[in-house]
Amino acid sequence: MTPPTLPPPRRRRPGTSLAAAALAVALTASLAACSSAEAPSSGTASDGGPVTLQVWTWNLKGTDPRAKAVIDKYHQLHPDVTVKLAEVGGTAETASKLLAADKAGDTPDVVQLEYRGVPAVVTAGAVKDITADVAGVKAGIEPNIWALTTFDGQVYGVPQDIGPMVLTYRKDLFDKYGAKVPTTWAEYAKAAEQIHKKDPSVYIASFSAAQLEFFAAQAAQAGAQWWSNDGKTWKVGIDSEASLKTADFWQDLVERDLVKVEPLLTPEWNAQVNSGKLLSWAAAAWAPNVIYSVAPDTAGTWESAPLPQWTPGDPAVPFLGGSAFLVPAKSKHAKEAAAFAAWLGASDEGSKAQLSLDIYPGGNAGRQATLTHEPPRLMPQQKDFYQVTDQVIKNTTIPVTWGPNVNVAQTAFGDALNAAALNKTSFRAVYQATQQAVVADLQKSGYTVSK
Amino acid sequence: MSAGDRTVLTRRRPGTARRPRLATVVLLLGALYCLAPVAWVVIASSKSPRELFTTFSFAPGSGFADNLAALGGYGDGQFWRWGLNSLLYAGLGAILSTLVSAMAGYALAKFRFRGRQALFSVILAGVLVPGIVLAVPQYLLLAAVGLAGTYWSVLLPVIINPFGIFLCRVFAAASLPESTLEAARLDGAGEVHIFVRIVLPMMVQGLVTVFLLQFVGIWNNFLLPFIMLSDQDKYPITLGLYTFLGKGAGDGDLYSLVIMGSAVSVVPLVVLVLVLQRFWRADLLAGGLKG
Amino acid sequence: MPATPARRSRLRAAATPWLFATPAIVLFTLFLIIPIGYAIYLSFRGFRIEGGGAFGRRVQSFVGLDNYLTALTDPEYVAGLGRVLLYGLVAIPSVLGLALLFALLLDTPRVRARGFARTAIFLPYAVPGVIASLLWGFLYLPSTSPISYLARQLHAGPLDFFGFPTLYFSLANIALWSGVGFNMIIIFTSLRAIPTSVYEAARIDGASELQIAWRIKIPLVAPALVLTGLFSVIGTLQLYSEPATLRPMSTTISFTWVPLMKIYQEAFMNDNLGGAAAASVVLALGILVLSLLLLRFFQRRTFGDDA
Repeated sequence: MTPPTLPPPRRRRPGTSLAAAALAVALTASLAACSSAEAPSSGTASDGGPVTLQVWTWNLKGTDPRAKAVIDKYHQLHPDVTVKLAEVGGTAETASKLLAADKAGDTPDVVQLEYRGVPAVVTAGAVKDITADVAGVKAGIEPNIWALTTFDGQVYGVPQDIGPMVLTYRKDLFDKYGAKVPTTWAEYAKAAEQIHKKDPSVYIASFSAAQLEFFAAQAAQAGAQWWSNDGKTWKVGIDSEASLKTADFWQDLVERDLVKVEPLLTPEWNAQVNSGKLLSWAAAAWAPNVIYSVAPDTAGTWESAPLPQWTPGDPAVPFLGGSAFLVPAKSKHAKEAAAFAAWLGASDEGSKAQLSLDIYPGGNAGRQATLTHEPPRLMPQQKDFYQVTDQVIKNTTIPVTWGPNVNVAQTAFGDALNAAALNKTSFRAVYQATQQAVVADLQKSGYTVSK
Repeated sequence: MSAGDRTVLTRRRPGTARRPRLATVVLLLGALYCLAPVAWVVIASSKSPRELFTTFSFAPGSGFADNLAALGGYGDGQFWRWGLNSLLYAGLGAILSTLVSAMAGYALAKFRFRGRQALFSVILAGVLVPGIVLAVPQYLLLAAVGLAGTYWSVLLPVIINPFGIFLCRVFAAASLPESTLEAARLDGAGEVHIFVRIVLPMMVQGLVTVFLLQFVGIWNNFLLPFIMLSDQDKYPITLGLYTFLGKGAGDGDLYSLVIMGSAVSVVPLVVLVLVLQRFWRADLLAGGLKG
Repeated sequence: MPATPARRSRLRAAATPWLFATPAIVLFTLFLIIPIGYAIYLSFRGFRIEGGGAFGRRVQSFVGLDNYLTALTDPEYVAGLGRVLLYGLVAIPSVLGLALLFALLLDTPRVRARGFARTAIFLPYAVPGVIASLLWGFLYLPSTSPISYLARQLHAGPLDFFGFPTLYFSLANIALWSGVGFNMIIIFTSLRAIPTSVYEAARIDGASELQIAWRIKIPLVAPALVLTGLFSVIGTLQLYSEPATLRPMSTTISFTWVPLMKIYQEAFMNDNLGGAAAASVVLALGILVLSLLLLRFFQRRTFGDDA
């Protein structure tokens, strides 16, 4: 069952296990009476017999009847397997809980993480190489999507949902202010100017420094790779010239007060979206559902269009957001876990089921199904919504590689960019400082970083 | 003279002719300042998701019943289950914690023994360590004996409460006269008997204080259950409410549920405070530091 | 030597306090001393890469004082300590000052609405810190704030609750709101414990309530003030949930705004338990030293040397 390509198993840490053993002795002495109360997850062997899979996910909410229907379906197909869902947080929380659980040997069987969080848990040795387990379902997902969970040729997760990048905007208010839907970022700046001139209380969008992933995608669209590797060494391109040009673009908009410096999805942002003071959100195909959840009254006034381009006529974009299911290294039912992840992400039935949960499926069958699906509730009138996004996926040819220390960049970048936006200091300096912080952290951990 | 003795004195203030109007006004302003945000939570809980961001903050909304139904209906009534879990963690945890603290506080206050001061200092130093640091080691420890993820993993660590022990020592010192204990010992009563029949009843008001503080502390605790639990059926309310906030890309915040949940989850605490307030004897703190 | 009854009872007397303290000692050892010891052990360890390559595995190893050096030389951590101290300068005096004021007012003869005010002011203590911060966030943000609404009606400019230095006051306000009632009750009950005879003479001499409060009551409740002050200092240095909850709503609160946010970041987001542990040890030692200094200073002044 273990493929020969597996990386060397993680070394035991004598110190840790010694300490744990000492603690165990200390605890068992006093807790023996109660420790029989509940054993950690069911422990039947992988071959045959009933198996319970612990799944940490926010896509499938155990409390949502639609998700329940999906799981019931899986139970029908696999009577021996019971799937138990739990929501433990977002990518950051799930990753940190997974790493703690891994140290304790008490992991679930499947975890959901956004793509940017995957390399960190791979290098921590906390998730399994499932290349062999998913070999049979490779055809269910396009290679450019598998690339999001493939490192060094090994597959570490099954893509579930994806984020084809679109600009979601207030059609009615763009018309009202006479702004054209931008197809390039230069036109976007013009539209921003026009809108803000017509009504100084209105902005084309908010500028949210915490959205590291968005700025990385911006840079990727412009031809820069923030993280990349050749299998041996890492290359960090946050301060590459192409990346810095995108910094200049946003600095210009912020300095001319054409975008509102404001974090996303705060009560403030929600209120401004509701009252028509913020007119667009450059994100991905999942954005309409998020906007709907905070501004249901504005449904019918929005539309989504392909993301503006840096170079007119070059529609290439990366994915933004989306997530995969991974199998923790210490899962006791890795085979069944990988099978479940593969079914939901790559099978016809599974990937179609994602659509019923308002999730943008990464699997081919699900994507095919979107073409005949009703548009999101935010834009019931935009009948070609899924045609637009499908075309965007075809143009999503830029692979984004995330590094093992995205978190370091996240905090350094977000904090510094906020400060720069407030104090009107150089955005380029922020990118350069983030570059240094990321490189220094990689080197401190012992990775080789190439120039 | 100990604090306990002093509070027994009844107070009779010679009436001044004038009512201090200014004092009353300032107190009422203080009350208004403290109540207004609470009122806001209640009002906001009546707003539908669309009203929450669009209407004036203190304007009542039309969605109270809907929000309550949505909260109650979330996952077949999972919210109420979280509420029961919180009651279990906070109720049982605070009772056990109070008992352990009472025993330790009594020992530290009423017995002279070698190492007493050292023991007390070490326990008090426990107040200085932030819980964030302890959560992960505690988790690894409990996982090593197979208790991580169980009800025990949230209950056991909260039983030890250095601040509670400190309070109990102070209160035992102030409210237990040596003469009463000596008389019981001369009558041949056992130490356990003395503790159960004499010490606990005499300390009961202080124990209520310790119980209340620890109950509120456990009820509001987020980090420990977050790191310990991954089965949603075992979540307390704080952790459950957290799942209403957005997670990954494409997952929005359920603010109206969070606010409704907050309003509902504060209710038991308010009731507890109102009910137990008659026992409220925080003067043990003040008196004890002297005695 | 055969045990005499007296000897047995002495033995019993010696063992009794330890028996009563046993549950606390056992639990304290299991859930505080061992985890603290483990954290200290971790503070000397860190992750390093083994196996080479871009996806080499991280392995924990001994790194000496690296983590301590990193913590002490990290400008963000040191700046966080500075911010916490600045915040404390605003928060602690206002919490204690208002708590003392309310307690004195409650203790004023013939004041009205005493029970109502006492309960109302104490009530916010029951609201969890995270929820308190969330609700104040709604009350601070311009589009949802009733205060900004009123300001707009009066044609005043927009109010920025998250700028500098207003942010410190906004955060202190949350601490004030949550904590004033608790401290007020402590001070108030210690006021009630003062026998009235102490004031009688002053009243007969024609002293005003203000003079009585200033000259008699405040000195007598000084121990309560020191105690509440001490716990305020400890609570302040462990400030976390208010800025952490408000961070996503503002652009001025960084991920590592206060030391505990930095520690949380390292422990939970960056999987750097060693760095988090070292930063925690530094913080806990700082709190310890500060508390001891304060206690020593005030104990001598307020209690003589009998405490």
